[in-house]
Amino acid sequence: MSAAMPALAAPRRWVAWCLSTPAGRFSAIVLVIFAASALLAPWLTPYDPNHISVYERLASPSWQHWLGTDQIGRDMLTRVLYGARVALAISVGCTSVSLILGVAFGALAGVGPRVLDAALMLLFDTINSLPTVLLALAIMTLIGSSLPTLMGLIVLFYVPYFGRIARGQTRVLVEAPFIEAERMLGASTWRILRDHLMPNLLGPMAIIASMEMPSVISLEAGLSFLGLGVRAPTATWGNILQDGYIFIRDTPWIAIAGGVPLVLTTLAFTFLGEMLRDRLDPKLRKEVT
Amino acid sequence: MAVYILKRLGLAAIILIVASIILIAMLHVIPGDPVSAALGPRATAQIRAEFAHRMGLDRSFPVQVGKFLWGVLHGDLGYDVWTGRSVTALIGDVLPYTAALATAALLWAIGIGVPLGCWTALRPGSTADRILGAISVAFIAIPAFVVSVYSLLIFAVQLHWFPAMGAGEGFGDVLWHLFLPSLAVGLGWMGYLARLVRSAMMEVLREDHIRAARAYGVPERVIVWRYALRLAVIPAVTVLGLALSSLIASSVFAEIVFNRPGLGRLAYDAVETRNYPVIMGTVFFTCFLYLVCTLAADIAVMLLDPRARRSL
Repeated sequence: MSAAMPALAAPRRWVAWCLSTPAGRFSAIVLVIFAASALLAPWLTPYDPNHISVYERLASPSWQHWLGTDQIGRDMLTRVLYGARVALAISVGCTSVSLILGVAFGALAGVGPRVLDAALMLLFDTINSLPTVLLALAIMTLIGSSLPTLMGLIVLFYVPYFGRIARGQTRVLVEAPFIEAERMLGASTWRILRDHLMPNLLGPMAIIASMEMPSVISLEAGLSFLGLGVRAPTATWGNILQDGYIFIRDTPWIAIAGGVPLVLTTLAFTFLGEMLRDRLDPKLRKEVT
Repeated sequence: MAVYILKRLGLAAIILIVASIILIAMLHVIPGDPVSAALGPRATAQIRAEFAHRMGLDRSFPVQVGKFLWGVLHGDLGYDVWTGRSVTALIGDVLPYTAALATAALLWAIGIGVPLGCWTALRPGSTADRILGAISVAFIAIPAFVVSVYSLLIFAVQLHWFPAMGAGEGFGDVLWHLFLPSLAVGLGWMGYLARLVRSAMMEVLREDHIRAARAYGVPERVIVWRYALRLAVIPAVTVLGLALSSLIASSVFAEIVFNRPGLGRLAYDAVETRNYPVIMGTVFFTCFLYLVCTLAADIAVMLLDPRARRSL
């Protein structure tokens, strides 16, 4: 896995590879739309995501409102586009932070004293054993819901996951001849960790992290759906789906509008992740063909 | 093997102790005051003190942890701060609903996922294999709560084929109420098991003893369903414990969407009333279930696969 960073220097080949299968083409299109709507939302729609228009509430899809409006007359398409911003920010932000913390703790456990290793692993195992959503509800009872709470929770749940993998990788790397040579030359543990282990860990770990994007997005949306996380007026796909659930008997399009982008992006990320794994893991590739 | 099981039990006990320390520490570490969160800013000092006493907040941290763990040993998970009912009783009331939902979801996953995995493993690379493979991945990817809301919208609200809320009464009615929620919860694992069994089956079919069986002229059907399947399900059995516990966890969404009683619903309703002991008890109990399920699955693998027993 540590040598699994081929040809990142040749983006054109990666694009060609990505577009070589139907699933890859689907994913590329969805992710381009997702990124574009997140970055360009204010220019793509004439409406404000929080503009209330009582006369147009719960309107069916029309030329003015392609996806209809919600219970207080906000344009659904606008809210979906702005929702992509939150989804993108949270998924990229939380995944990166969890990745860095996970690799740091994992590497520390891998090279540190046995007591530290055992303590960290026990902590990771305990967090893994706790039910994600229920623990989120427990924290929500104590401090209420907010965006930082939500992001903190997601990081809390993903650090042990990345940490465990990073620890395993570190233990393999520590045995490598170049680390042994470095140690014989008198390098300190800290120096080995910083200059040799971290750079070798981050590449492969980043690929693993990118495969976790769909589950981070759905966790964020799921917790928003339960009312934890981003507060009401801000448009997120989870919030839209929650509104849609409340008005499910009158207006199916709110639920549809909140769920479809969620389904499409998680699918696109998953298909890409699968392709990436097949390409990077020759053993798996053999099985597929 | 006995030593291994004892070791695992010890680890599980330690994890439960750490989990209760974390859950009680959250009361202290997290900024904000659980008493004013529950009672609001206008409560008098006397009411606040009484409430803090009922939540056990007036005792020191180690005492609280010790008291909680001592209670756990006696089947006591604390008390509902508003009604005074024991959390164990509350969980006992709703557990059958969650257990039924998670089991039904698991049955969907095994009943469709395993045969699907076998069937596609016999035709690798075919159009059917590729389409079903993409569908399996889609089932894994799509969040359970979206499936819940959409299935509610399509089959309950629009088509009226299935009931939209509640758990039903009487055997047939209960099953009818279980259909949509369990399918929504089980879909992800259905896809996952199909993928897992498919790749395991393909590996097993390449092994020497299968080739030997073929050379002896054993019919292909017998080879696949009797000899190969036994080995091909092992990876699936390993994850069954994980599956059951994760199904219990994702039942939370289905219980809320379909308005069914259950562990998730219990915790969700307790959030509204800031009833921390109820949520804490539910989290602790679910953690316990997770540890039991994963340990049981590991033991099952050892019973099924002699190689795993020897490797200990």
